[in-house]
Amino acid sequence: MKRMIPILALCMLGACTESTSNKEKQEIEVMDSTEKAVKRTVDDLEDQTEKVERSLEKLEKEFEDTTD
Amino acid sequence: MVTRLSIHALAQGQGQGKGYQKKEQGPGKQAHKDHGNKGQSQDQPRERGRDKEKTVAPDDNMQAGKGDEKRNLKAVERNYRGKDDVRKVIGRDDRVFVWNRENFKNRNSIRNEGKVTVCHKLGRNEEPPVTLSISRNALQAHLDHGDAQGSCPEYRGDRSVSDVFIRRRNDYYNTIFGAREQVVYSQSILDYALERLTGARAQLVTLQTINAPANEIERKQAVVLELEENVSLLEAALAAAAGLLAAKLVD
Repeated sequence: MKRMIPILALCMLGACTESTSNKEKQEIEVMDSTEKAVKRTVDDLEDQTEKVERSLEKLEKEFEDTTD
Repeated sequence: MVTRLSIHALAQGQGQGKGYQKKEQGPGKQAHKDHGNKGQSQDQPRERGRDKEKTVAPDDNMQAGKGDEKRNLKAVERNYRGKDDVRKVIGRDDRVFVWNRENFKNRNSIRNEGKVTVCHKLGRNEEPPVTLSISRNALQAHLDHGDAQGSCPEYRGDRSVSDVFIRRRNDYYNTIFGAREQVVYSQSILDYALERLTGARAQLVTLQTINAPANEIERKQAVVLELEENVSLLEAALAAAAGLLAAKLVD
């Protein structure tokens, strides 16, 4: 029985480490997919913001001395 | 003209020497918080639909130019799908960009004031904090949140975490907070575009009234129309980004 205790302890430690790494793996997977979606959405936002900025520049030029 | 004077006054009062300024903590902010309450005072504008926003009467222009608070409220009061998520995402930023004709020209240098490193603590205390590289413009908001400037010290908390996981997590939160900075910036551009549209539409009305040459009016109308279309698309893009981020940002 005494010989079994260290073996059991090692098994438990192994299981614990494995469960931590599994948890990390799962969290990393979630982060990967979320990050992809965020990057895609933010790229769209950046593009659209640039379009508004360009339109605004045209507006500034067209209404240069009139709306200030 | 009232519009001309009021917008000029705004340009003088805002953003001189800096591309951003501290958002009002006074009645303007309170009105923002109370926005939508039935018991609001007469000074606090009611929510207006998007269609109404597009048909601006001269009186609306006068209202829009009464001062900083009015202008900020006007930007906030425009209703679009996802506006609440945008508010949620940028809500605790107390330094936002406020553009005028002068600083808008230098927006790129103002926006890219440089990056600083902060150790950002997450809402759940047992979670390891994350090291973020953020825009200098956002530093004060992070410090107010209790973050510390500089990288995070080695995590010695209860949770067992690997170095690989910590690095991946830092990268992830840097993407999230970088996206948040883009939302803050895009919202500021949207606010400015709405303000400029108001002035331009009023000017068009004046030109029509004084029988200005038809080709001049048409040319200006086309420019206004293009901006209106792009503004609508920007609102949709903002709503999509903020909707995604609102759930991911942990205070």
